[in-house]
Amino acid sequence: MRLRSLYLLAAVIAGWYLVSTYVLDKTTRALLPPPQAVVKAAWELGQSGELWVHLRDSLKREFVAFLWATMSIPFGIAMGWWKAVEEQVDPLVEVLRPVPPLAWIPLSILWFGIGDTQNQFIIFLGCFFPILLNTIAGVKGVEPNLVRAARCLGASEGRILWRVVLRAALPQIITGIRVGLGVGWMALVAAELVGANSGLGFLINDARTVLRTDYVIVGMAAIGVVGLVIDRAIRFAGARLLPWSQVMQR
Amino acid sequence: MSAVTISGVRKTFPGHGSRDEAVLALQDVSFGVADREFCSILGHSGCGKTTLLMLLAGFEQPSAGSILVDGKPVGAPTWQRTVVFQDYALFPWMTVEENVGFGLEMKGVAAATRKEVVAANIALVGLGGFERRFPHQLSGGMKQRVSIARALAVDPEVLLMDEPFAALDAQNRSRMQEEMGRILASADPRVRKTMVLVTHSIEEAILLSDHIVVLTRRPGRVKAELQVDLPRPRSEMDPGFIALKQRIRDLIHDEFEIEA
Repeated sequence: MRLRSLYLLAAVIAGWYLVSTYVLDKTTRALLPPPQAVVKAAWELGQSGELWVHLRDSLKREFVAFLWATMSIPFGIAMGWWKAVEEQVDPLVEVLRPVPPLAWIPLSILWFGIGDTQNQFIIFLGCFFPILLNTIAGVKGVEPNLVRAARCLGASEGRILWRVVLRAALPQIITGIRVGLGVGWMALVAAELVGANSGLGFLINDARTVLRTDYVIVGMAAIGVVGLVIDRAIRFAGARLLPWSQVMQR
Repeated sequence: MSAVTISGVRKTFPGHGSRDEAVLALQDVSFGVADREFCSILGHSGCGKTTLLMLLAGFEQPSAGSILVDGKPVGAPTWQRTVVFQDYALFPWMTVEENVGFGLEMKGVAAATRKEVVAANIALVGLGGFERRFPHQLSGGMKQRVSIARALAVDPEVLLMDEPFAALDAQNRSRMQEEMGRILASADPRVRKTMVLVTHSIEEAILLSDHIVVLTRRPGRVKAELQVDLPRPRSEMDPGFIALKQRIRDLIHDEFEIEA
């Protein structure tokens, strides 16, 4: 990242500082504390360890839910490869897909109560569909001649799926994972706002009830930074693991 | 022994919409390819020559007629009939070595033997030193060499080539044709196979073939069959070459007249 590309960000923070310090009065300042107060709050939360506990719980939920959501990869391959499977599963997917993960929260709370399982279920829903749809698209986009080449070189159907179709679809599957983890992360925070006793979403909602806006902003910043780091990590891993893919190098 | 007999082959593709008419790609195509012969199928683009090759490989089934290899009908694709594709169809996630060894791996050839065969075939196409490269690190000509090595490595009975040099630039194309001619002239038992080449280049067909089948425009039918008895390696300057080229050009030209 170039230093030059940070000018606007710096200006926004400066504007925030000016508004908070010189425009707002003492009472309204409680609603928008200045940047230095937020940094101080972050330091406090970091020192007390509270921030790390919430971060750990959120990441753990995201990770566990993601592992469950990877089952969309074999589903997607089957749907992309066998027409009969797609014909049956597609209507179900089409009905469920437009329902936002957040709309599942009430039902999820009733089913699983408050806590990890509830949150993981919501993240799972957020991750599942992007990975599934990208896997299907990846499988359908495999060059037909690659499959033909493998066939005439004596590869069985199973070998073709494992050695050719899966590999050829991997760049798109990884794109699906990136999108899925992003959607999952957003869904996680929403699920934690209403249905958890820990996590970054819980942290900001809990701080709200006691009007600690500085903590709220720290929590929001942590959510943003972690989301960015996850996305960059997947991109980096994709470029490393698939050096042959032009898409991944971009 | 691996002679190919094509008799009365017809191929229609269903139309897409309900009002679309089915497309007749090949009509009553009959000819034979002798054992270890190099046969070229020559025709305009869209004459169904690639379709014919796909039928030979077993990727598609003829709508009527039969294709026999050694008297047995062609079934599902097998390593006994490998294909070199115009777009190379190399596995981009595999190195040159892994691409060439893929078919052997599928055949269950032991790793040690596989290594030897792979090395021999990479050397045959002149790609020694590039074993660890990925396809995207190679030029078009080199990719096609890998593809040829990959198709030969499994030791097929019939090698099918679909316009293998068409995507190359002019310089690379003539170099690859020459080299193919050299390999064929050397009568190396590894490459002396029954070969079928699909091409629209008259020069390429004469340069490489023992036997040329000229197809008509769609629907493809056999327009003429010619034997090429010129000594190898062949030169485009050879009077026999030029005479044959003129003859085929006239045959193909006829097609244009009919069409116009």
